[in-house]
Amino acid sequence: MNTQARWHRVRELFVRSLEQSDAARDVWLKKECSGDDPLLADIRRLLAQRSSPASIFRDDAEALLTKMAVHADTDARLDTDIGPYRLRKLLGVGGMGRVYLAERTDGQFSQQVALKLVRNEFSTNELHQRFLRERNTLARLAHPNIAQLHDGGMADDETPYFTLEYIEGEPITRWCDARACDVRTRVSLMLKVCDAVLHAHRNLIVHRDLKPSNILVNADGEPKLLDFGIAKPLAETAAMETLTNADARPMTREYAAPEQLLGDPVTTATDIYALGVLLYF
Amino acid sequence: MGELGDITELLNAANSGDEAAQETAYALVYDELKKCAQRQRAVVPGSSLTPTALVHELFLRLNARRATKIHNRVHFFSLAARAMRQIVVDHARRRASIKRGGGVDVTDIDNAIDIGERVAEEALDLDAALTKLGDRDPDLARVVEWHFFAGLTFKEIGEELGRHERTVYHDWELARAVLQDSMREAGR
Repeated sequence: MNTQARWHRVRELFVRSLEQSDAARDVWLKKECSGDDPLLADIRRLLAQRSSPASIFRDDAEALLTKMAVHADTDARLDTDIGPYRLRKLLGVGGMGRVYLAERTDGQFSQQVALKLVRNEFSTNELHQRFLRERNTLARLAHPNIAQLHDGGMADDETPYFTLEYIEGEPITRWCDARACDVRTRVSLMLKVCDAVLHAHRNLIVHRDLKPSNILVNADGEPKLLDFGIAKPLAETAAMETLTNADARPMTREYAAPEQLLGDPVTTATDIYALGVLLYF
Repeated sequence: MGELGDITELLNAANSGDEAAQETAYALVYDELKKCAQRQRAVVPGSSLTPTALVHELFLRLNARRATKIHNRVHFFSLAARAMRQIVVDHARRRASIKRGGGVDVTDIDNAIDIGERVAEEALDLDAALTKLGDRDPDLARVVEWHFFAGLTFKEIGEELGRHERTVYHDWELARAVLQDSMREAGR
């Protein structure tokens, strides 16, 4: 059978399979394939796809466009200054704010930082206060595998911002997959991650949003944890302001521990849970 | 707006096999849909774009604009669906180019960018898988373009193509299975 004829056969059998009852389908199909095992396997595989629809098919083009919508090209803040920093490039946009690559302009240091600008809806004085409180704690958090928090403040329009060590890297899962890392490499990376988390916990700081995109591996192969302690003030402020909107809580469902989903107090166990999920992926 | 009238004429010319007219008609339909989309977003920032609404709106405007009616509706929907697909792919490319990396990938604060980026990657994978499917079975690929990208219902597709709604649905089921299979295969 040539490819085209075979495809027509697959097509015909698949469609006719749909007409069968769930109970009778496989028996029917087996009979129709009459010993052509590769054909049977192909159609079974296609039929199996129906029970686990890919997430993209739960959307339509409309939902896709909405989810991807980002007005990066119309960012008026680029090349303007915030505090002693000049915004150079938009690195990303999230529901809670934007992140820019920024440089110090006051000549004190010539360094590049990641500058996070909290979205207006969240820029309350309360949030600012929380950041200031957290900042002192976080500044003490010095560990080779944790991206250092540098600074925080308010832009002229009272939008809170904070700056972090700029890490150029890839999310840990992608880094490993791209290099087809063996288990030994993955585990040794993970040990460093655990060590960093342990260090934070000893300083009584919980991350509460650990996930691959917060754990980047840099060019030297060193994992770096981002945003320790940043989720906390945001979570508290968001909880205060949007009590009805559970999605405003900064967490990621796939990695969220049960207590986060339930809105219960977060503890160090929350991070351990996320690390467990990370290992699984 | 002479352009809209032009589309009608071009569509009709394209219908009689004029390939250059077809390409020009496509370009105009694409621009029109993009304009519709931008307008819709300008009114309500963050509001969703409805491909169905866009495609139908464009169709109605085209059809109403002139005495010359669009003779071949199938042709129009094909162009419109292709244009919507292209718009999604354009968005996805742009979205995917705002790279994480940079030390921060925003997701840290919430997972909105994660979703956006994941969706962009999925959309590009889907586009690639759909191109592959189109080589093997243009008919199935058309059902996906019309339903998924242009937002036509199975019933509408059935009416345009002179097929039973149920047949279209079965085609969609098969197309989706094949696409998923090839997307998962590629992702492995």
